[in-house]
Order: sequence, then structure tokens, then C-alpha cells
Amino acid sequence: MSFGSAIALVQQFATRTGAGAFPNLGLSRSLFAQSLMDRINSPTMLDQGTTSLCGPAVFLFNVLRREPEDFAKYMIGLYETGRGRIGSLDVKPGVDCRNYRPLGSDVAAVDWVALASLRDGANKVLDYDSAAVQAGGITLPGTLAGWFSAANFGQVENKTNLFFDSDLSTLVKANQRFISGSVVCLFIGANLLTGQAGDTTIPDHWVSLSSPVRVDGASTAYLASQGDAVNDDDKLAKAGIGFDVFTWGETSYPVTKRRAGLTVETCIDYFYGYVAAK
Amino acid sequence: MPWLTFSGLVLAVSLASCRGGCGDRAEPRGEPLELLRRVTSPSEATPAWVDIADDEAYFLVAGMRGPVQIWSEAATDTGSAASISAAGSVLAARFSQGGVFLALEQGAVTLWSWRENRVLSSHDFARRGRQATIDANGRFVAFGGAVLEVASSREVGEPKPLATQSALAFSTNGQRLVSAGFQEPWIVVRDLPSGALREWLAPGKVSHAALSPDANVVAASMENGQIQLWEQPSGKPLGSARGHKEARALCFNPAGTSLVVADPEGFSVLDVPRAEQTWRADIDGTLWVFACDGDMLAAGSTQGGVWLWELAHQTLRAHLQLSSSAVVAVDVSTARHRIAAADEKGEAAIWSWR
Repeated sequence: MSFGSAIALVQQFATRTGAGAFPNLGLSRSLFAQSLMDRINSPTMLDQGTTSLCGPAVFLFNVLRREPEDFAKYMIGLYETGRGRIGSLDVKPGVDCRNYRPLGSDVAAVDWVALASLRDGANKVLDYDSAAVQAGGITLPGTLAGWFSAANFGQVENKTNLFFDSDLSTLVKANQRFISGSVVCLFIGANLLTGQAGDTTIPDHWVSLSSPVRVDGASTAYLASQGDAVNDDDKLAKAGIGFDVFTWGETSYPVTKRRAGLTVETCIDYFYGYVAAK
Repeated sequence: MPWLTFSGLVLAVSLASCRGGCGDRAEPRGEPLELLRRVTSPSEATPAWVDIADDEAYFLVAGMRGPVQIWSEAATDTGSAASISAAGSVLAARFSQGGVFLALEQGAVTLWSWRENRVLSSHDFARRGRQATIDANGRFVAFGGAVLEVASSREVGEPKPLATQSALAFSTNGQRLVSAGFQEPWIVVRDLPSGALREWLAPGKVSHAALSPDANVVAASMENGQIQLWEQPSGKPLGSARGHKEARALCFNPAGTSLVVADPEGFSVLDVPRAEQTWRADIDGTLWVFACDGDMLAAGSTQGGVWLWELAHQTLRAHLQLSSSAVVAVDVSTARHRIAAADEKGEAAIWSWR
């Protein structure tokens, strides 16, 4: 799918008229089109802002990078008809979600349409109809993996655990998938990034790996051959670890930004596995 | 009944103790405001900013992606006095130092002479930002986590970017800058001109932050509605109050003794030293934008209403109707007795009071 086709679709969209299916966005079709163009040009502009829409953000960020034309069609469909499709993923947000008026300081209007629609359309139990909703915004690993499958990504793999933190060998496998060209979404406790203490027992945030994982400054590729044995290596547990992730509208948020000297064992306390796709 | 916790004390505050009406929908007091001019922006340029010039009879209306249109207050004038285009999303647009300060999301900040249609100064931070502002004297520009000294075109100290930056504000005296993050819930205070930094983890995700006019108190609202105060430069916590879960804005009164916390239903005024809520004013509809200057407070609602209050006397000064569309930008000028507002369709107006 081409970048040029995506741009052409948005240009055509901008020339049409008609009220959108999201009447309270507070911006014109033309401004919506320009914001959409910005994200096609620069996918990291897709930003969950203050919402809890990290799952849709990591999924759509990767769709934007890989299949910008699919993303453009999805967004144009949502705006014009209230229904968007990516592959076989059919997204129909509810009336409350479409009628919500996003506060620009919370989340950009175009990002609200992209992210909240996906979450609301996929959420059978909890509505996602306000930026302040937290519970309705949490994306379970199976849901994220299902979105990638429906969007025609291949080799979809869900290696997560909701209740227990994962281990180094799983992070090494995630790194192997990343360096082989897969999209890798890590399921973590957000406090790993913010530097806050506690909450190591609840995974509450999705990020997309944007650099290889390094241990003591070196590639972890060599650890892959050791399999689960790396989990019992006390020396390795105390080693320093670093990698970058896409999160909160930033391409390369260093996992060590608020945790200088982060060790493998501390990192693993906040790590609950990954969803990968290619 | 709202309750406040300051310095470990839990104080029940009776609404009946408020002067001038708490939580009521009072009638405006004083002479009606005079409509000076009503203007219309280009239909595609959804307004995001309104600013009233401090020392001359002009106001500006800036679209989300430009243009910035400068209008005279004279109703007899036709068209705008000047128009500045913007090559990107506008993070801030306001009058400053005889020109117009314009900051774009992509990192460019410019001071324009709108009369001469030329750039007076410019700088490119070469990174994307969520927030930008200029101090009252036009000496420093803050963009994301960076600060620029305008005269020297040098950045002051190391940048301290925060993910999902939710606040960026100078103190009125220009001696400090506060920055805060939502998803990365840290508060960063930078002394000026030294650039010295202090940062600490907030007790929750920060939705708004402000500095007292003398720069000695930091106030921040959290996602859960908690309002927290810290002394500067010591960092000592001064207390906390429980407020509305969706704070929309924070501002101190000129003496720094009161903190105004705006929310979707109206606003509360906290007396900081006495640890009391002294006033609560509600509006009809949903408060969307809020501005303060000195003792004057202004708000716009999603139903097209515009309100003006006088904080010192705890009175509603005016309730106006701009249109039936959501008011998305508002400004008030105490010095020039002006209030201006713009709605999402591009209608804007400026009024004066005596």
C-alpha cells in the first residue's frame, strides 16, 4: 500500500463536502484532512494524549507506518459514515463516542476519531465515550493480537501474561522478532517509564519497541541461543538494560529516561510479555 | 459539601460561608458591557486563540493552523488590519513586545511585526512540542521542555521534555517557569535567568499547573481532582485540596493569595493561606475555555455563552451570548477593560466594560 495513494485519498476527501459522523470535533473537514495528512507524513504524531488508549495507539501507529493507505481509508470512512475498516477489522463506534467533544489539551480530535473509535467499536462491555474513561480503554493482549490478524499482518504472536511478570527470555524473543522486522508491542507497567514506584503487579500500558534491546550496552541477540537459561543467570539479572519505545506520541522514549541504571531484574518486574506481528 | 485538606487538616467548608454567592447562578452586577466589534474568521480556520493587545485597540484571532488575524476594535473598519499565515498547527499566538508571538507545533517560534509584515525574530527548536508560551516581558520563550532567551537567541539550560506535557507557564514576574506532564507525571520548575532546575514526581497525573505571581508557590491539579501546592524554591508541600475531577484551568490572583480552579461547571476559588474555599460560581452549560488577568476571570461555554467575573468582589460582571456554537477561545484584559471570545465557527467579538 503506497504512501502516495494515502495522500491522494486525503486530498480527495478534503475537496468533498458534508457534515461528518463526529459532529462535535470542533474542527472543519479541511483541518481534519490536514491533521490526517500530518499523521500520514509523521506517524509518531498519533498521540493518545491523556487518554488510556495506548492499545489502539500502538496498533494504529504500526498500521500507519506499514499501510498508510489502509489508515487513510479507515479514517475517511469513520469521518464520513461513522464506520471504518482495516482489512476485516470493522469498526463502528457508538453514538456517545461519535458525539463526544474532545478537549484539545486532552487528545487531538483526529486522534480521538482514530483511537476511541477502535476501542469503543471493539469494546462489547464498556463504552469508550470520554477522554476521562480509564477502564474502558484497556486493551487486552488477545484483542490487540486479533486486530493485527484482522488487519492482514502475518505471524501474529501473543506471548503475554496478565497476572505474572514475564522473564528475560521472553524479552529476548521479543527483541529477536524486532530485529527480524516484526512489529513488537510490549505489555508493561507504565511506571517503568515514569519512574514511579509500585504498580509492578499490574500491566497497564502498551508500547511499541523502536530499538533493539541492549544489555550492558551490547546486543541481546547472543542470548537467544541460551533459551530459558537466561532467566536463572544472577549476573545477567543485575546487568544494565536499555531500549527505546514508541509511546505517548514520542518515537523513541528511552526506557531509562526516568530510571537511570535500570537493571534487567527491575525491567522484568514491569514486563508482561509482547504481541508481535509482521 | 466540598472539603479541603491543608497541612494535614480536614476542613469542612460550608457553602453558606461564601460571600457573593457560592455555586449560585447570580445576576450580573454593574453596567452592561458594550459590544465594540464582531468579526468572522475564514470558515475553514477554526479559532484556537484570542488575545487582546495590552496597549492599543487591537485584538487577534488565530486559527488552529492559522491564519493569525489582527483586528482593530473599531466597528467602522472593514476587514482585518493584518493577517499572518502559519505553516503548521498553532501552539500559541499572542501580542508581545509590539509584535505577535507565534509558536508552531513543529518547533518554529516567531515574533512578527504585523504592521510592517516582517519577522522581528525567530527560532526553530527543531522538535515537536505540545505547549509553548512567552513570558509577560517577552524576555523568554518556553517550548516543550526548552527555554529560549529572546535577546541572545540562546537556549537556557538543558531541555527537559515531558511526555504528554500538560502545563507550561511562567510566573508573572518572569522569574520561574513550571512545566508538568500527564502520562509522565513530573513537575519541573526552572529558575530564570539561571536555568537551574528542580523536578519531582507529582502525586498523580498532572492536568494543569501554575505559578503564583511572585513565583514562590506552584499549584497543580491532578487527574483525580486533587489540587496540590508546593513552596518554591524549597519544594515543601503547602497542602492539598480536593476539587473537580476535570480541572480546566488554574490561575492565581495578583497577590497570590487565591487560586482559581476552573472546571466544566464553573470555578472554585481557594484561599491559599486560610485553607478555605471562599467562592464557587457555576455557569449554565459546560465551561470549555477560561482566562484570567488580574482580578478579572472570563469563561466561554460549549453553548456559546461568555461570562466575566470580578474576583476581588466575588461578583458576576457580565453574561453574554456570542452565538449558539461552542466558544473555543477567550481572553480578558484588566488594563484595557476588554473581553474577547471566538466560537468554533469563526465568529468572534470584543466587548468593553466601565
